[in-house]
Amino acid sequence: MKKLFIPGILLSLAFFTECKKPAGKDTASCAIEFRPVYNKAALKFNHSYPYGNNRSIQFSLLKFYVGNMFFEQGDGSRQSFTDQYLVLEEGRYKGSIGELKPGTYVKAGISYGVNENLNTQSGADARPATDYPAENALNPSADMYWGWAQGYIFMKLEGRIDMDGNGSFADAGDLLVSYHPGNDALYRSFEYNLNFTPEAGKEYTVIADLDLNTLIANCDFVAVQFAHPTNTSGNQFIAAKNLVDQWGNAVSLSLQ
Amino acid sequence: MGQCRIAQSAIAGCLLLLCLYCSCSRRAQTAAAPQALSAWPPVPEPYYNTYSADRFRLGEMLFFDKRLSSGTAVSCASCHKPELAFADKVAVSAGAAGSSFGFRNSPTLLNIGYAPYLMAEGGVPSLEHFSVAPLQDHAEMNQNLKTSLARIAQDTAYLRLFRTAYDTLPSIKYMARALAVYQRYLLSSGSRYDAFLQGRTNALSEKEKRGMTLFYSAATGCGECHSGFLFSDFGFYDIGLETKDNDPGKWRLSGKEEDRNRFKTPMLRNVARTAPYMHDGRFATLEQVMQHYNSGGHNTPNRDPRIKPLQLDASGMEDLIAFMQSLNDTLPYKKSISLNTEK
Repeated sequence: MKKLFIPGILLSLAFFTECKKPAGKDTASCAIEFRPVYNKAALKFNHSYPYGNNRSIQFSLLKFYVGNMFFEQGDGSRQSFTDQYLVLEEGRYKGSIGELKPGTYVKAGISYGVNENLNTQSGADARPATDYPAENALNPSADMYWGWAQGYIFMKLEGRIDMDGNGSFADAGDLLVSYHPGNDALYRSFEYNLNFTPEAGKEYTVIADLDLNTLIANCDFVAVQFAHPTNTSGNQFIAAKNLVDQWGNAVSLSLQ
Repeated sequence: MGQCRIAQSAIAGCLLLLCLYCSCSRRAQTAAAPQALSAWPPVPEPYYNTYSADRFRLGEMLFFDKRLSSGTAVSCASCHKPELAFADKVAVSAGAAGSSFGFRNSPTLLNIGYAPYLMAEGGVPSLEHFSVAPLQDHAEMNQNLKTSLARIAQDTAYLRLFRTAYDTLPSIKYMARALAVYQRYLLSSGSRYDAFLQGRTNALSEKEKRGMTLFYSAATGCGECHSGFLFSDFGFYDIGLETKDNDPGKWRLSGKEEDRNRFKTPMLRNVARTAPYMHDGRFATLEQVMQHYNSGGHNTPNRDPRIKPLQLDASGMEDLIAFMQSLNDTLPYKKSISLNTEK
């Protein structure tokens, strides 16, 4: 009897393992990759670019949330990835969206920031940010959270301006630029054309070309160097609004 | 037979471990929450993070642990010093980077568990929402939470306490919760003023009693905002402080002009130990605070109409200060654990 026991267990294990094995995948894996471009070339951080009037600008940080993405078919039906967020930054501008049903998609939607339901503690679905697992984009360890205001920083764009064009960015009179939009009024959602026919079992990457010139087209970093608005008053809010309003124009989607 | 004995031993071992585990879990759940004075209400706590002695001990260990800051330079206790009623003696405290400073005075944490919201503009609803924020703030402890977690995750003392307190491995979520429990139960109620309220009429000197009368009088109105057993109504007021450093107070959150320069009423227990004063530490002494109120402050746009010249003479101000000093807790703070993590 004992001699039969162990082989019996092994056979049972083999049986159950076989049962769990998935049949062919019926969805496509989908990722998104942002490719920031400045002056028609891939953005280089801490690289000097002309910034008018004999000035130069360097960007040191471009980090942002994208989330609540959806894909829409010609008949208007959508597959949404609600409340799923990615935090993207230099070296990590690519992230997984999820599994997409096969179909013929004509449009994609991307939101920039964190939806008001989750953004502040008055949000209907909000919970302490530390409750999210450490690897979740919404955990404060992503360094995109204002603890004192209980809200997410939707985007960080930081850099320096060399005001006299002498090549140094640390002279007296040179400027530090720091834009951190992050309150409900600065959450933005845009729709983009994207013809996309994913097939089951395959992997796809949506390429989001991000034209930084367009994104900052309405910003005057010399006039407003610091914009960390946690309310909707004052010039910091207006400056940050001028930035996030451009997400729609600055991004175009294609498929790799 | 040998295999049977091994199996029996294994089962017995598992049962023993299960019993130990259950007893640990029970111990974490059954300890009674501390109470300051019977006259005080219980400290409000969220259902998902109730008190246990192990949770308090874990929070205490984290609170004093410098490994949670970059360069192991500071701990929470560096700016919230137990001997200073969990406040600091400088206007604004230096962060882990040394040259980096916050922009507000470090407030006392004693009795913070009763506060309905935190921060001078009141933007934080509970300790659970905020307790780890200073760890990552660049002007404070300046270390990513993941790094802090990695630094403590191998420490057997932490592994044991996380297990008994929350039945889990170390995580950011439970770091935040343990720190919240610890701070929530930093209670202070052993002042001579409390003894006086309990019937020991000689607990306060005549000078202090005169100060108390003035404090609650219509002439000064101190007790209107500094009300209740914590000496705060947790309201937001512009008390006529000349604006410095562009700190707009509650405006930061609301954006409403009527909130500009309004800050939360601070609690006054142990106030004689928490110099300097005001949200930015601009006043070094209680005397300077009294002079400010006695003068009626500056003509700021949202100044509360009750802030007006008090016309107190020197002895009146001394009496008020004497009363403030009677609010000092007389019980020395004792750490509940041997803090081998202070490294």
